[in-house]
Amino acid sequence: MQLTPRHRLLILAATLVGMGINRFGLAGAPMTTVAGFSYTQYREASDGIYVRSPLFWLLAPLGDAASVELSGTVDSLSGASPIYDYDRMSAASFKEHRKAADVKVTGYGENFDLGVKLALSSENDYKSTGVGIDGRLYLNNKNTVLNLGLGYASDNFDDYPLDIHGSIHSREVLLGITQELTPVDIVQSNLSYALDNGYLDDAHKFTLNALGFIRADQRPEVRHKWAWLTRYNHHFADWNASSHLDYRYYRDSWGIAAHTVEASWYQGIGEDWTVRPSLRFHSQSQADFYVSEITSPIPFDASLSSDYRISSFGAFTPGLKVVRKITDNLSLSLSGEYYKQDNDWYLGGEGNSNTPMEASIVTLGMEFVF
Amino acid sequence: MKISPISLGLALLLLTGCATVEPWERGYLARKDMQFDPDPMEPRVKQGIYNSKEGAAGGYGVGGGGCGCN
Repeated sequence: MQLTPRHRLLILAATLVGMGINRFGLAGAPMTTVAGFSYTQYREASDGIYVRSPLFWLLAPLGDAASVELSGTVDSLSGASPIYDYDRMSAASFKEHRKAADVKVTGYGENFDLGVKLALSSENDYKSTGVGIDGRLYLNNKNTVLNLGLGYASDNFDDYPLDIHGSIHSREVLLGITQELTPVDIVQSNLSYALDNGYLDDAHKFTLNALGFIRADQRPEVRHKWAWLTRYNHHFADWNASSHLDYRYYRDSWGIAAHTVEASWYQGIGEDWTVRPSLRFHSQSQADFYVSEITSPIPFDASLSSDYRISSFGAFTPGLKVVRKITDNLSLSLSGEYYKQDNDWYLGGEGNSNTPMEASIVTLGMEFVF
Repeated sequence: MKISPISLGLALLLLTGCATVEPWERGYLARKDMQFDPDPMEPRVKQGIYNSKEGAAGGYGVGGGGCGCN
């Protein structure tokens, strides 16, 4: 992954933002450097995809009115991805690496902060460059925070064996509010809108019909996406515990509507241990052009896809995380989650994915405060 | 489901008039387990997985790049 002149200009701009902001206050500036490392193993059932993902993360102050946040990962992927949404009878085997890194510089004023972010990722046939600007305004004795975020990503897909090439441009805006309600209650609500346009097909997926003929994945070149996320945290002082409850409603121009709920309970045990059970539920409807197989003639220029990811299904993800404070500076964590999709869990009736998938996710983590 | 922008905006504005939390009352809110993302690495991993296996994404932040994830 090479830094182009445009990348260097963005990094310079981010640095200048951090240096130029009013230095009178520290609306949320970190005081110390924190570094983290995690290692995640993701494994799908039925000989699906296997991913090992080490991740490095760092947050450090730059003087007393700015900070820098870095992260980087190299995913090792292998296994088989279904070509047809048809009981996984056929699958494309692959083995590849995906590298990703991002850097964010934030400047802090007395009642606001402003950050600029650059994100890069690269894999065999896919490269992405993303930038974002994220501003926060603190009001009402800092009980209220207004957040405005703007993002842009430019992706390129180049599959030379298949001789398929395309690009995708994504623009996103987010407007949010965070409100402290009481000394033990805080809520956040974010509305986002994103527009993707370009090559949105999946070149590695096909739809089968009963006679064995296949059609390539073909999707609209434009996708409008809306998401409304609300998060609520409450602290139970007598129990040394906190609860998190998140709900997101999603809708897009492809016809997908989704509800996602996530609940977590952080239980402190003594001074050094935290145990966190969690449960996530997701239900989505299918895209308008999704079919599990072709059973009637479809015009050649019509959108068509059998990708299970845009079918209708529900999914539960129970999880458990344990955090152990080793010293005042070092903590270790171990978490396990099991993700399972099922047509019976779709809130709108019977889902129609022919290849509902399931996977285990295990993560070992470490955080060090300097 | 249609969301009226006006009613949503009014609801959010009402929140700003809620009881004020004084700086000396913020001890519990400053706890790590009261942050929306107590572990900053976790959403990077989990949202990447969910976004690559489901048809819905967004609401958490901007500026991330894409991937050709299967």
